[in-house]
Amino acid sequence: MCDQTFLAVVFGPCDKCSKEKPLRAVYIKSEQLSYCSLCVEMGLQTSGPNKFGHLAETAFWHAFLGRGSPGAAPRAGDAQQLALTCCRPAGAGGQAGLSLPPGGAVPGLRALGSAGPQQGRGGAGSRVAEAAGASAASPRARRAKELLPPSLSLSPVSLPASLAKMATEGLHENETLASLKTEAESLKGKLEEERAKLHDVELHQVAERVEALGQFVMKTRRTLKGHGNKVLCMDWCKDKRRIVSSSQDGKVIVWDSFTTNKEHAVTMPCTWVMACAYAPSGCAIACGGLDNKCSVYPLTFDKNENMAAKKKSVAMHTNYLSACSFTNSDMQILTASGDGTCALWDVESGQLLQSFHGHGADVLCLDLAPSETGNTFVSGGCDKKAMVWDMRSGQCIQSFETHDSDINSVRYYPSGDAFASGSDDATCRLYDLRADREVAIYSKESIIFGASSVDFSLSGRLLFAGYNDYTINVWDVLKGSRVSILFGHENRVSTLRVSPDGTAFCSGSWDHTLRIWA
Amino acid sequence: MTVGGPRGGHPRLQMPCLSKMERMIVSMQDPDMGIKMRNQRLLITVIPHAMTGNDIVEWLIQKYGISEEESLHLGNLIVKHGYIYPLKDPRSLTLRADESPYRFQTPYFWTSTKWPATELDYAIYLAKKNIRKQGDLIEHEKDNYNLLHKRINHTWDFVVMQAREQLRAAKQRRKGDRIVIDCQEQAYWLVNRPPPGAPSVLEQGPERRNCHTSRVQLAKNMDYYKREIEYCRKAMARTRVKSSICLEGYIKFNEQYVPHDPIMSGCLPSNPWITDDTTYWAMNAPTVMTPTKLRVERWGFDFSELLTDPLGRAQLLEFLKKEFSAENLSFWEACEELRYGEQSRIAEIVDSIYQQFLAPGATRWVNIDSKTMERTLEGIKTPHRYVMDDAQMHIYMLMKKDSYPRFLKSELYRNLLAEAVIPPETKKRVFPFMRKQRHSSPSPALLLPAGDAEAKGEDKSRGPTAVPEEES
Repeated sequence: MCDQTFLAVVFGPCDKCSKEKPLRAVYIKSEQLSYCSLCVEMGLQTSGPNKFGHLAETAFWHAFLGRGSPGAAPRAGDAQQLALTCCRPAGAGGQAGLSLPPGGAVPGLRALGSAGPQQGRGGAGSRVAEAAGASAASPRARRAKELLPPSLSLSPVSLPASLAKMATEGLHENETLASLKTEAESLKGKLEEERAKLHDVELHQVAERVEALGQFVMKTRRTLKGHGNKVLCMDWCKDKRRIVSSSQDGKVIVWDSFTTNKEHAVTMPCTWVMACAYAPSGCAIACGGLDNKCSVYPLTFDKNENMAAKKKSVAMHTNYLSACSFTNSDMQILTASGDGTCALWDVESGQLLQSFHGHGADVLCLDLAPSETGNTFVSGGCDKKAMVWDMRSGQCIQSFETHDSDINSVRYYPSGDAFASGSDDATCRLYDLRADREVAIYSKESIIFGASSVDFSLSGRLLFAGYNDYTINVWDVLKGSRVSILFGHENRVSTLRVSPDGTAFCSGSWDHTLRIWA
Repeated sequence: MTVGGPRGGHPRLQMPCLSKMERMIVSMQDPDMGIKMRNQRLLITVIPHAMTGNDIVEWLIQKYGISEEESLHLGNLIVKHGYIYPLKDPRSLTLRADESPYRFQTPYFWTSTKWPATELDYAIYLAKKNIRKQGDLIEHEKDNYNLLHKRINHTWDFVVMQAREQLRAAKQRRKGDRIVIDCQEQAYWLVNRPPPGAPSVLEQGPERRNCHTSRVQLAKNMDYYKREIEYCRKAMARTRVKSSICLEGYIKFNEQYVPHDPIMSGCLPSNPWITDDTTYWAMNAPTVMTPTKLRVERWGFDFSELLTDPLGRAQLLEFLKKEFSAENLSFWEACEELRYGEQSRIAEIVDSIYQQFLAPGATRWVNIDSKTMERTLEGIKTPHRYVMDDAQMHIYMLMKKDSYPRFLKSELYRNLLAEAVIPPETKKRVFPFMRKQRHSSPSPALLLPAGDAEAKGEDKSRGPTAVPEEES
């Protein structure tokens, strides 16, 4: 059979060094042999780079800091100090009493002056951390910051001595580490049991008595062409017809999508503008991406004024900006970033109001709770977790980890009692906040591409999800079944939002266009 | 920052869809339940173990219970990712639902194989093609060939040697095998080195997992577990609600809101996006003389609905004035201004709230319980954004539990309901293919000062024309 000769062994013993490695076919003297990539390269007399040096260096830094991971959630009071020092260069922001070490920020350096109590970097450090209290913005926290001795800032001179100290302390930790791990695991198990106890019925069972949806017809009503490259993000204005969209080539465009006219256009100094948002008043837009910043542009129709001139740099992260959203006013912005944190900023001064640490990897999306009294938001990240945060204290209130892959998009259910998430594992899931668990999965065997963006219809009965296979699937939230599949885009759907009054939804795609569906 | 180009030696982290696709491919090749493969005729040559485009589409429809359109779309994506390749027109990776022959790609060339295609492999492929076609390569392949020749010049002997060896080995095979190998390779390189202008299926966007924690394995140390334990303890102590009650909530919410959902139930007179008629927006504008019936009904669903609608809030104020408790709403609004306001104005706003609402003898003194008042007055000494939270919540609850139910029973509300309009449905146009002119509306950004800018969906042709692009 002719097939067999071409099914070359993919993984096996190399013909030269006999090690078990992935193999590739090589022809030597008309004979087909299988060499591992290392032997192929040796045959070419090139040598691969040694990457271990870099890893060891970063490992040292983490051991020194005694925190294990810079993404570790500090006490609430620490948050502001930490983020102030890592997110803004020395000299900016009136309240920062600490300064960064000379030579700029070391990647991952966060625990300036607020090391955990075990490491005991001088009594002052831990006392201050406790004195800082629950709210970073509280008057007590501010006083506590002033107490910190300036000598606690890192200078290269103090490094070697403390480093040695850290190294020896690390050895003793290993014994208790195992016991902590088992305790954590058993508690997690108990938590799952508790959650399961109250789970007495499934959503689709309850939804049996709800009327099934009839024929569902939605068509593209507008196509917005004008971006020269992949559309990455969009947001609606409260006037229900204007939208702002951003793309890979750095362009941010404001459209009146009803007439398809472009009203404003700005070119950002960076590419991959992955986040954009419209201000509640309709007078400004915010955007950001690979520049690690979130900038606010007031919208002006004055032909003599350059929109870029009035640009305000608000947020500063240490990695790409993945999502941003205004809160109830034009004066506060919430951002999510590839550096694993979310942050709340005051637009006028650019000051960091609160930062949210807890994700173990890049944060990709966020959504604010619709409640009038609530002050919470949900974020999803590459660590497969969706976390609900209290905006005031910076604490994580709830967290859900049932996805198998990165969570690309989170959106609250209109009542605020639940939220949906879309992930690279090709499923969308519904999590209930009061029951504290996942209550529905929206998936189909034929859908194998990740969901990049989700949003609910006004009543929450329909969930629209844009996927990386260029389609949009419409799910019946209550019954768990797919209602319809919408074709039209010629590349992956990257963003999807329902209009504020629920009359239509807009989808943006890597095929350079946006479509309004109704 | 790498943006999805070939990364030397890294496995493809960001594409879980590929492993799912592979499972699909494997089940397609299942001897019992898979696609029936047979010998396909390609001009005069017979290619074994091939199938037609039709077979693929039919199998997908059967297996997943999907429509033909979806099946064709899915099949197309499988071909675009290089897991199935066409034999008849190997240069274009598309699926045609007819009798054109296709074959499964050999696992050696699967897109998810541990290492991405290297320059060396591509050079060997181009060299082979060059020798075979005697220098007559396609435009972009010619450019790539020259580029590689420059870049990896030191290994060019090896490249040419390999190319010659492979060609010699190929000559000894049957014609059918030769065609198959050619198509396989061609499909592989179409996926890994797409011609300029064609979108690459391998492009992933900016690299993720840049957060340093994922690179260093020290993440799970004592601090991490201590936090996990603390989180679990707090979570256990949290009160949870039974699933049946929570889910019941969705059913109720659904019942209430579905008539108000334009996508589910349509909207009167018509959906502006479908008919190009903006009357719906005009009738539901934030400030309008007579609100629609649906809108007034919605105020009765929840207190937050009444508050978020500017018209509803205005009506609530009227009602509260009659009850001599209008200061409650004003106080609540002032607190919102504090919570979401500028950092620099916090002290100023707190002082103004104190003077208006909390100071003994204030003109609009709000009735808060003594404990909360005490706490608030203490907190005012060091003002911050959330200092009024307790008092605000108290007043909010007061309005919600006390004033709101009375509002709903009041004559004011009942009159509003009675006078509310139900817009008539737009009659179907006689000439549906004549598009109505789409009028622009003034942008909210035009209305100054910022803060009370509300867009009005009026049919004014005052909208701005396209503004020239600004460079940052």
